Amino acid sequence: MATLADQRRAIGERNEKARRDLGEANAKARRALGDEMIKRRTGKTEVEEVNALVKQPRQRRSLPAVEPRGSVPAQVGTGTYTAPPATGAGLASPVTEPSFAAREFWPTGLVSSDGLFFLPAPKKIVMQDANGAEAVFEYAEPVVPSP
Amino acid sequence: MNPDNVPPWGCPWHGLIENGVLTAPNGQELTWPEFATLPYQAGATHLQQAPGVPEPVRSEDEQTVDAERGYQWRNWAMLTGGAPHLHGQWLGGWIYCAADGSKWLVDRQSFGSVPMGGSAWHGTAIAMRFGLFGVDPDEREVPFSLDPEQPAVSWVAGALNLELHAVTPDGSAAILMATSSSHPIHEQVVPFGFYLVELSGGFDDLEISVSVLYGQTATMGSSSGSFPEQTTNEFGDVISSGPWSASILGRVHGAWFDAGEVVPVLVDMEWSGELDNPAPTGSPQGRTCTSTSSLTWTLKAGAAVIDTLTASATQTIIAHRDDPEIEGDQSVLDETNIITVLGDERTYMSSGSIGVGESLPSAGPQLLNMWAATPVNNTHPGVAPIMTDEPERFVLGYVHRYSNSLFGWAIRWHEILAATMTVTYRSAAHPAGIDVGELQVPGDIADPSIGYLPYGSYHPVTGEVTRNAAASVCYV
Repeated sequence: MATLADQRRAIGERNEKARRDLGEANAKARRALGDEMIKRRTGKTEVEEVNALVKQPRQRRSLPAVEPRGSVPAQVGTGTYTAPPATGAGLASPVTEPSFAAREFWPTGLVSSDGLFFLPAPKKIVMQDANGAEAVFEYAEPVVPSP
Repeated sequence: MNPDNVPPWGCPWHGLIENGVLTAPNGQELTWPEFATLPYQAGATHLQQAPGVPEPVRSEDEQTVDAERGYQWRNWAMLTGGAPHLHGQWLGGWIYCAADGSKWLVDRQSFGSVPMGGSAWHGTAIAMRFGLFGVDPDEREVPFSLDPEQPAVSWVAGALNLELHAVTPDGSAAILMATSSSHPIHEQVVPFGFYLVELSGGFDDLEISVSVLYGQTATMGSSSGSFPEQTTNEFGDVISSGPWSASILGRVHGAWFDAGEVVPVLVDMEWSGELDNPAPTGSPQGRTCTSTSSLTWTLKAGAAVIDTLTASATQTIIAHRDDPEIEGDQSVLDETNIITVLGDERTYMSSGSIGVGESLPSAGPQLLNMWAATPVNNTHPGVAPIMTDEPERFVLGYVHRYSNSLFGWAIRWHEILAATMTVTYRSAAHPAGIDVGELQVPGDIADPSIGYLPYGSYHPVTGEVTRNAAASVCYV
């Protein structure tokens, strides 16, 4: 049978344990409250929630450096020339203008700033290549005042 | 080809040419050819502007580049000098901008010269297609014939030269001024007629007409004079009383265009006053004679007064004959003249005697001289004296022709006793108004080049005026 002293000792130990448990609970509650306040201030929770909704960007990586290996050594190329057919559309250089008088001009052109000089825009120029073939150049009409 | 993508082209050089050097806005100096025989030809400016050509639009960046290069892109050109010239190159005429867009160079020399004294003037005006690259030349010849309405003067011989004196911006009208080549020319010229050339039509129907704008009679102005009748008594004394007046009105010195209308530059020279030379009375006979005189010379542009020169004089003569019945000479001759020229008043008094048998002197018009009626002399054509009261002072007033479109009075004031000369260049007029201001410089009696500042020019676009320069000036 426990004596009164034993009973008081047991009561004291229970009270001490209760106080200790209460202090630990309070400390845990304060830590939890502190963590919650930090999350609210930093928006950590919202950021985590938003990040959970959006696709995370791909992380960039640098390409690995490749050591230069030098140029390709010169080589001799070969090919077989095939002459175009005589009825082809190619122009043989030089291309010349047989007659300036054959030129045609648009009634419009470029006017000097003072309005006194006028450079008419070419409308048609007839050229001739080295084989005597005629080449006609026809130009669009510019939208500018007449002389 | 998009014209918006094409930078402006032509001649970007504009500004004041001084003694053959054009200074661009960036300070760059360009040697610019001069083409003039006489000072007023060097300053001649004629605006040429084709209708409908817009002012070149430049971006801020382009403006920066233009400023660095000294470029000024304008939608007009300036004909300059005596021939005249365009962009520093000889042109020899003016440019007619037809309504159909074609441009024509009107050859001034094709009008030839006016036969002095002739009753018929025949010629062939020539216009050439201008400013069009890449096409065959196109020259049109248009004969003309007219009566040049002369002569009104007899002291000039030979044919009259024709100078381009004024032209409208589109070149559809031009004024040719006739001057004499045989007439001695120093610093000015005297015009003897003005002729109007008008162009119309275009490539299909170009027409050129020549007509008299101011014939010789009109150019020289109308002269008139009115003086009181005078009688003489047995002693030869002149007796006359009443008002007097004389004038030369509307003498044409130049002409310019104002919105297509011709505005003549005129000089009116007027003198007037009152005489009182009564019959002698008393014994011995005597009398007091008086005269008043005023001079007003007015330089005008049309009806607008540019500047006026004034002078006035009063003359009082008290005279009595000698009485031969009395021993000794008791004759009296006291004369007082008060002469005011351009505000400068001076009094001259003299005393003398009248010999036996001599007539009594009479008062007469002062300040009136014949040089004004014939404004030509060997050294200063167009110069006329305001007054000559030698031996103390000699004042010359004349129309100073700075250029085809800049005119003003100039005064050469010679103090004979002090042996000094002062040259005054007064306000000058141009088609847009008057350049107010007076410059007085010392001259030299023996050396006319001292104080000689004949050059001037007017800019028909900006209205700028440069004048009274010792070396040639001209705006382009």
